[in-house]
Amino acid sequence: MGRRSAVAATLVSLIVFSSLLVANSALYSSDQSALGAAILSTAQTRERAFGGILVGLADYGALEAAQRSVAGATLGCSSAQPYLESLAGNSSASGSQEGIDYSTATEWAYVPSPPGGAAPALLGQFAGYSQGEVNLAVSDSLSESYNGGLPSYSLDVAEAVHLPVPVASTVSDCLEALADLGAALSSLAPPCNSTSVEEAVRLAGAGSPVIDRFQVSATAAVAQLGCAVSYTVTTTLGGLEGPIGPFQVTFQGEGSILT
Amino acid sequence: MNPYPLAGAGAGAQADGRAASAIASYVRSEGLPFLAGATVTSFCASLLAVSNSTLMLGGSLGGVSCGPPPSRSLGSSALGFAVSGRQVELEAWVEEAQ
Repeated sequence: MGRRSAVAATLVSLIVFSSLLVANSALYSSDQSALGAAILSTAQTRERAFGGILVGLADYGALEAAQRSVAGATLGCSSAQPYLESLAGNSSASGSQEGIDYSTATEWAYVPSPPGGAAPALLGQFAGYSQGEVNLAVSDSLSESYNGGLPSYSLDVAEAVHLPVPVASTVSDCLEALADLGAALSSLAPPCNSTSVEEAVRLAGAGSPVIDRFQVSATAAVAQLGCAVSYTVTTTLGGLEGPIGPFQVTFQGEGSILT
Repeated sequence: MNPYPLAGAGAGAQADGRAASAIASYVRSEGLPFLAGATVTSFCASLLAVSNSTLMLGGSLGGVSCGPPPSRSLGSSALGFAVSGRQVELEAWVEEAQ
């Protein structure tokens, strides 16, 4: 009798112990699954959070490169557009942040009209297309992965950014100043000396609403029955605010006539 | 390698995600032009302005730190990058409930 009780007790103990083991294992497995899901979810959150910043940084880098090209340049009033259309570049970056491996590839180019795409909020006053200024279309490709694996995240975005250089209005004023100056100088007659040139320039300034915004120079020489006149108008826009600080751009127009 | 101890690990992971989102929100609201041109004083003040009792933001600008991290936190996140040649380090800590 005692032996049977002992066997029964042992069997009951085994059953209870096994049940506890199975229950603990299920609980542990459940915790592990929940934890795994939480870690993956956090990795996804990080990828999205950091991804937006990485794209913004790539856009900012494009703006910086454009500023380096334009800063200190002299743009011809009649050839500003071809110069701007030559502005283009590309860059790439890669790295790792908190287990998130990332790489970005960026291409950018000047665009004369709105390119579509978003205006990235991270870029503040440089975000979006701005009529008549130095506008860039930026294409970004972003790839992220968590410790080289899943979850991964990728993004291809087209965005519009700009440098605040009033190109269109300055070119328009420049061409108007050139026309006004040319009209005033067309009345020059021999001896085509500096006194008569200065007087013509002074008269041009008095009659033009835009010439006084430019530095003007003119020279004349006797040619056949009249004067061969060359003239330039120049203005430097200083204090332009760019992503890497203040910069300036010079606009210059040239003309020549035979009176 | 699991970065979290099992007990309470889900909450810790969620807090890490919340901290990462807080860093993204901060950069979005302040903008990269601000970070490119800010003084250390204005940078640290902006971090303080968005911190509250459950979320603290900190960091350093050009190697100058805004202050020490909290002694305890439920979760955290950090992001470092260069903008206009300046190194910006941003950190966020989600505080444990009192």
